[in-house]
Amino acid sequence: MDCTSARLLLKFARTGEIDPSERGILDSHVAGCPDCAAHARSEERFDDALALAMTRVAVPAGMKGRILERLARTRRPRPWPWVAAAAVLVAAGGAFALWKATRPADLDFEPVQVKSDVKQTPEAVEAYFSKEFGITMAAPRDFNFNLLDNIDLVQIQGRSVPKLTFLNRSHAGLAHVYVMSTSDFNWPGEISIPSATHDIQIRRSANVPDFFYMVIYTGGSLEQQFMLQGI
Amino acid sequence: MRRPGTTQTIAELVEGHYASLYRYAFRLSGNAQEAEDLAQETFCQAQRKWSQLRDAQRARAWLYAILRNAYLHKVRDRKIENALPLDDVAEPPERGAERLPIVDPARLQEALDELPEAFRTPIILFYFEDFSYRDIADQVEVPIGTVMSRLARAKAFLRNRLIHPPAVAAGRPGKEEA
Repeated sequence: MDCTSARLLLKFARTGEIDPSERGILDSHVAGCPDCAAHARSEERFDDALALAMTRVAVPAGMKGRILERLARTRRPRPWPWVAAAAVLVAAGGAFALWKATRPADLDFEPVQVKSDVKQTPEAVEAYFSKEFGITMAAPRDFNFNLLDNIDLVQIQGRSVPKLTFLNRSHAGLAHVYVMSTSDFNWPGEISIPSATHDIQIRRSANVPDFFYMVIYTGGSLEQQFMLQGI
Repeated sequence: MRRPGTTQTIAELVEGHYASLYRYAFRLSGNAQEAEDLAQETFCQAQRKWSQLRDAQRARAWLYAILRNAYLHKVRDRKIENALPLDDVAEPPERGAERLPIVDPARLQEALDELPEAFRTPIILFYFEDFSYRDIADQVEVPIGTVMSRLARAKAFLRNRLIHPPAVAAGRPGKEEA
């Protein structure tokens, strides 16, 4: 090791940034080099004197208390941990619900197909709604259930309404029958509204006082296409 | 307030570091009131930035960095730095086995006050808290080589100021090669 390297390593030796093998080589060099030994002693004395003077600063009395007081004054009041946790959960739940509501839904084919295990009879349909949704409904018995194509539960004005779809393939006729409970909707009276594309009928079936039916259909006469017998 | 994942609180940080931070601030600023203000401001900032302290083992370096930044903000606001033109200082000459008198802390402070901050901070850290060259480089955000160059020049300046009469002392260190 030459003197230049030794002087450099002496700097690192003071801060401990020197590995043991280098330290050994340095010590060997300094032990055999009077100039470097004198330099090392001079530097050490200077460093020690300066370090001593540098740290001789009296700390003001009561300073720690003043710092803690100031920290206490500037600390914002924090909610209790469980309140904060609950707020986080509510916010997360709300965010998830919003995200769920705003993203496109996965297409579910089940509602648009007739349930294979539901027999095409009024009684089987009523039993299905009772079992699946806990809903009491009365199927329109004057409709031809052989044409039943689909059953579903839809929301109208915030109420759950069974919806039956009848399809008459031979006449290209389609009828949506909404089973309206009089506990959810006021009976508006018999109504028939024809239009260029579809017709709407509000009607009742005999002996079914608690329900009426809103029928939206195409393909000509409701009675001729979808019903067992003309009413 | 307890840092997540550690058992350290801000009060414990105060307990462990307030005195050394005050001394550091005093050597930086040369003023007792300003040093206490800086120390208080440092802990207030630490409280606000508590979540930024990822490693509790780095708390000391983190606090020192906050304090230095606070000091630099004050200095810039007052525009008191660079009041004198800066001159080059030669690398420290060989001194042999000269005897260094006991250094008067007040004289040391006067000499430190003459040093530009870029030189003052490294030498305070070097002597004051046994920061490594790497630690000092991290604090002042310059390469280690620059730190060592600044330290050598600052030491030469202080040696001359503290051993020899000001009339023959070297000028303030300023220019350097990074």
